[in-house]
Amino acid sequence: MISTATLVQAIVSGIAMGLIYSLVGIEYTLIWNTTGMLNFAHGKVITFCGYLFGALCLKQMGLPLVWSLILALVLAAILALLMSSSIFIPLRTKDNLCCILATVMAGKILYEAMRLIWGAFNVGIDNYFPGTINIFGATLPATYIYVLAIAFVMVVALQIFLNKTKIGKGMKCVSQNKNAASLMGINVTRYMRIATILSFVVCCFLSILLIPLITLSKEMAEMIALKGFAAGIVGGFGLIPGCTVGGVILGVVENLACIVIPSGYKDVVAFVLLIGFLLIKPSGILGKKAK
Amino acid sequence: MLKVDKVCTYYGKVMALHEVSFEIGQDEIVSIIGANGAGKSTLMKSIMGTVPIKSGSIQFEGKEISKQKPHVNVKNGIVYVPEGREIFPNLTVKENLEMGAFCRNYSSKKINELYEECYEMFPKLKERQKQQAGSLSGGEQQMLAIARGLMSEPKLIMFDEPSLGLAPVIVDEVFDIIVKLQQAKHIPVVLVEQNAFMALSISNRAYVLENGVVSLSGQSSELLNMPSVKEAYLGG
Ligand SMILES: Nc1ncnc2c1ncn2[C@@H]1O[C@H](COP(=O)(O)OP(=O)(O)O)[C@@H](O)[C@H]1O
Ligand SMILES: [Mg+2]
Repeated sequence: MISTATLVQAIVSGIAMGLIYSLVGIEYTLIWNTTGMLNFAHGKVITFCGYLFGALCLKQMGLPLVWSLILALVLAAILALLMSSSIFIPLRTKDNLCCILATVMAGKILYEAMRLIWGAFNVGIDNYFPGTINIFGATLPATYIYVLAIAFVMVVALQIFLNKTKIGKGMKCVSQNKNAASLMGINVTRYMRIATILSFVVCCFLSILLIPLITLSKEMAEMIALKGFAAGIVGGFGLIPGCTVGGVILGVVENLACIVIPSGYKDVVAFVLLIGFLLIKPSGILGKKAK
Repeated sequence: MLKVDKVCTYYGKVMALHEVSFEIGQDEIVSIIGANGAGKSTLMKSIMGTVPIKSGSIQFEGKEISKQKPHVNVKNGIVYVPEGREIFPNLTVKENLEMGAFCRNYSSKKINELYEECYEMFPKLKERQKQQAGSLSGGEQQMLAIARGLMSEPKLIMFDEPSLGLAPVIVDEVFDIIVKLQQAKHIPVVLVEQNAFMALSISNRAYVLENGVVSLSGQSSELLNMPSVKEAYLGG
């Protein structure tokens, strides 16, 4: 018999991880929607931001958490400007293969840069979300609650930002019709830059949520990056609410599945779900029928 | 107001416009007619800065604008309602109108006044303001595109084939509205059309584009009676 405690733990940590997948989904969808390019470097961007925050700001510079966060965000924004000006904006009209290669190579450059700057080994960082918490008789690391709360606030804040603010509405128009957007007086390339900055800011927050969960290493975001893609497919590709729903479903389903199947197969669940959706409903849960 | 002088535009090595000159003054409707592929839309895009021109000059209110980006031109008061309407299908009618005023920092009071003005001119849009724009009929989408263009209070407005693909009754309605809005706002209107008869009947002056070259221009009433125009564009 499965105890309530196991169930609660699976669901809470599942939602926490799920919201992380949602944020990954949102992060690459922002760039996809505005520039039409898939950022295959996004896992490396998350990791790089993690190193900026954890290795550079916290460890080497010894800054307090908040200042580390602020400095890491600023550096992430600079990286976003560099990558949007050199890759996303100039290459978006070139052929697909060129776009894919450019972002893959950018990821490689980030990876090698991390290896050169911070060495080959993992960096130990004290858990800044410490403690445990008790819900319905289940004892959980408080990390999950912090991650869940922060990720939830971010998801909600992003939805509000994208739907209610002028910048968000401009981005929406750019993603629906670039020509019409420019005829509304929208500076389309500037909005591509803004979307990339927002995307990298989300990456930065993601890395900060991930460090206490999986420690800071150069491979820390590999699996998460893939599952973020899966979240987009499950929820509806190119749709911000779709990514959110898809991510949470993915996180909860894979954790619940692990109650009945050996947890070594956990990662398989997400990809089975991904392939299932690609075969049966490729437009995803919230997606309209493909035309 | 707007002066296009000897503009040449190329797509790669293919010439689309050759030394095209045209002019529009304050308070007139000027139509540009020509067959499909004559270069009418290219001329509009050259003015907007959507496609770069190879040579020539474009002046708006006395200032050279031929190197300006489209979004800057919109901000300066040139609005282009493109061929095929290009509304935002997944936004509501009202949101589409809101986007029309994106380049202006209007107060919410001002915006509401502009909505009301649009709804007065296009009562159907008021009924459908909460509906997704993609679900409107072709005629309604054209009305929306026109209304959206007016939201930024342009100094000059250019319509590219507003009658394209619409039923004849709706076509009449669209032209009617163009005349009315010109009379109400006293802004210059450029009207690009393949429907030469309609365009010539509501415009003051007209230019005929043929293979990227202005082959004829003059008072619309005179063009309407020219045998060559009759034969080529008015069905004999
Ligand atoms: N993006 C483009 N790339 C290459 N050629 C184009 C492009 N757009 C238009 N053309 C060509 O330029 C010519 C003029 O087109 P266009 O200005 O759209 O004509 P019209 O609006 O009068 O129908 C046509 O021969 C067309 O094939
Ligand atoms: Mg055309």
